[in-house]
Amino acid sequence: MEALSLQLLFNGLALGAGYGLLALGFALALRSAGAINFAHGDVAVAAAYVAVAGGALGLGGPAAAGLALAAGALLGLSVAGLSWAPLRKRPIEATFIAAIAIGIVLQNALTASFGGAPQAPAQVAGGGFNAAGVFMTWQALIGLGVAAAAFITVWGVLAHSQIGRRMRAAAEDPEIAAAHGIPVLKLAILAFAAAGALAGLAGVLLAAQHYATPNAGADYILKAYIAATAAGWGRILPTAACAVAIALFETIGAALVSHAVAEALLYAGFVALLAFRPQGLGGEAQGKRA
Amino acid sequence: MSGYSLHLLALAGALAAGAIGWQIVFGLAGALSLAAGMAMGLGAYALTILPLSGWPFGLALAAAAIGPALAFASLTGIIRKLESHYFALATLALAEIAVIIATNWESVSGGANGLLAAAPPAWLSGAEARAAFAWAAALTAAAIFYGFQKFYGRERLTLLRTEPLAARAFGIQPGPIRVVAMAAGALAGGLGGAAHAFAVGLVSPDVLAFKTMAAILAVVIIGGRRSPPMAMLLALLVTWTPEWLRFLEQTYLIAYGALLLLAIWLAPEGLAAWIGRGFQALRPKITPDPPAPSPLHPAAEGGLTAEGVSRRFGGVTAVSSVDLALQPGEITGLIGPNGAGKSTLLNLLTGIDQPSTGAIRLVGKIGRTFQTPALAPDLSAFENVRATAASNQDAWAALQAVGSTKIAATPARRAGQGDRRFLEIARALAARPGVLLLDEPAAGLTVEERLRLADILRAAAKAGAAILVVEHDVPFLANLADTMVCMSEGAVIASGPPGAVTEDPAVVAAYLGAPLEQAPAL
Repeated sequence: MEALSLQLLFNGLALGAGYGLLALGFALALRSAGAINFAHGDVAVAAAYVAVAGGALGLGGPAAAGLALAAGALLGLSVAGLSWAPLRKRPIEATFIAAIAIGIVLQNALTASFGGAPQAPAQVAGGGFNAAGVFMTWQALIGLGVAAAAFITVWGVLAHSQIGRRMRAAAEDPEIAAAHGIPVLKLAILAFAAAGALAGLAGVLLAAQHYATPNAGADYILKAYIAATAAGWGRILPTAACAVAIALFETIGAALVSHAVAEALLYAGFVALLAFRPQGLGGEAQGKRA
Repeated sequence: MSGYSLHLLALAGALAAGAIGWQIVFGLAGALSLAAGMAMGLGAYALTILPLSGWPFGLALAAAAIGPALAFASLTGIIRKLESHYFALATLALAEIAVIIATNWESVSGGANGLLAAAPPAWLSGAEARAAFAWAAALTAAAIFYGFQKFYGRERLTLLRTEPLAARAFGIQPGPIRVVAMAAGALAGGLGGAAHAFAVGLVSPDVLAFKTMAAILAVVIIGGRRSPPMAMLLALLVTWTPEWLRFLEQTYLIAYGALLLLAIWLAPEGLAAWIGRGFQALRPKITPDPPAPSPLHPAAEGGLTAEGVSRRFGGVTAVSSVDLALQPGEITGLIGPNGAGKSTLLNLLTGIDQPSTGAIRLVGKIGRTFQTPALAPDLSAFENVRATAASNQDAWAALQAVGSTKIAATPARRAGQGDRRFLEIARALAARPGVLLLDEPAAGLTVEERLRLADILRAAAKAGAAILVVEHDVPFLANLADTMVCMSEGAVIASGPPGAVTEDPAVVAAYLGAPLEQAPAL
């Protein structure tokens, strides 16, 4: 029993690496561009399929994952260029609907080219080893390592670098930042590309472990959103903690009852959180920018 | 018509009903819900499951409409205050829960494969009858749309969508309107879902899924957010396009997404706005002709007292135990340096914000204007004023009171800066207020316009209104006001006759660095 629960814990952490990367990209775009990307989940799914296609063309796991990262960045750029940049001065719903439209295009393009059946890209590394009764796959360990490195990098850049400070200033008050000579639009587009790259990595990790379907984007973005909301809008490290908590809840819930029940409870909990504690579990006032 | 065409016609009617339901939610109430597919799905499942457990058809149909409406009213009740992106994601989460339940509760919903619909009553068994049923649902949805619009008022709803803060200051509460809109939309959507279940003869989680929401988005965003006829037309197109483009297979759905994006860029108000422009001459005149000038001033008698009112944000006290008494027929001037808490106080008096401690008592209705005029840009001057008026008559009386009847038909976005200030005052007067709160009404006005402003305010005071004017132009205010109040750092530091307040040493000290400038005397 103990071994089983340790194994669950490990599996949950591995899933948390994927959700964490997803939520990290989401929070990054939020924190540095003040933008909410409704196509974030679809970008992750599309990048995972790029890795699948790369595998079919003979690329190995690591190369396919690199390709997914690049595809994610490119898709992030496209979302910025097609939905956020041209519409950011209009009522905010316009950018949401435009991003949803991009999501619809991506979902159906994937269904048209790959079919609706679940797909998994090649693993970055096969096999694993037993430690303390827990079977640890290299894939999961690498995923955890990549996620941890990404979190530390993003946190460090935002908190301690010139470009990070400029990004935060641009997100908080774009007009004043622009008046001080900060290239607001360029920084925001850079943030979208970085967020897309993170989504691409997340997509490839999640799909390699749990498969992906063209329509998985809605679930992905909900989980990223739940993590970002529960952590308190735009806070980087709490977002990671919340993403891991969501993954553990889902993994353990799936083992105890069923995946469907765990997921439904998670979403219901999200609605309840919004209704009764909209400032998030972290307690920071939020939502002002949106 | 062939049986297959009738089948498509029925599907189009069902989609139109669902889309019109979403027009109520997004187009009229401005709430971005992503649960329109869920409303249709609930209706479809109700109409399929209930007859299987022995409900008579009529009762099941009623439940298919009322059930989703009740469910949406109660669910929206708990999320009604959320900002738009949270609202969108909360509704997406609810819709995902519905899909999970429908897919996994196999004993009731039939799981992923769904359920075969019960045999419909004899009068509904033909293909013609099913198509007629679906279009009756679409027409009912349109009736609900127009009923909702009529009930809340087109101008009031426009103000709510474009200037939510101003809407709240006039007592237009977004929360309850969202709840009613979601219920009304789900009523329409539920009927559409019932029609869909009939047309297909089967219900599965497919109808709940995001695919349905995507089709509705395409219909409404491309067609027009507030045009049920365009929703019907687009529903027909969306249903038939796959037939025409069958050789393209799945790719037509990609085209939907692309068209949706194009529509957002190029025609934010949808095709309805283009067509509307073409037929402008045929449309009924929105601005009615003015009646004879009314001798009765729109302002009423009223008053307001605030006792020990404080407002703290975290550790900052923006307003600190303020006492204030606005007497009927009196103009009170409120001055103070930037950041003194004047606007926060106005928000507290208007009810946009709640005081942390203290009490506010109000006699009569309240009307206010904003530092930056908050008019709905696409509504005409008359329509903007009509948003807060109980009748056309009141709206005209308010326009007459500020002398702006000449620009009644001009869209607010084309009105000059001075005209906008007067329109805001007219809008505040149209509600027949006993209390009038004005936030920097003289900013940006010419000398002539300032004289006109002073006359308007004196007339309103003569009619009995209690008036509070926040103004940076102290000489202007000193000439106009009966009483003057000065705030600094959240607290009242002086009050009394204007002459005494402007010379009070505490007031002069508060303004040091920003001396009381000399403006042309009135």
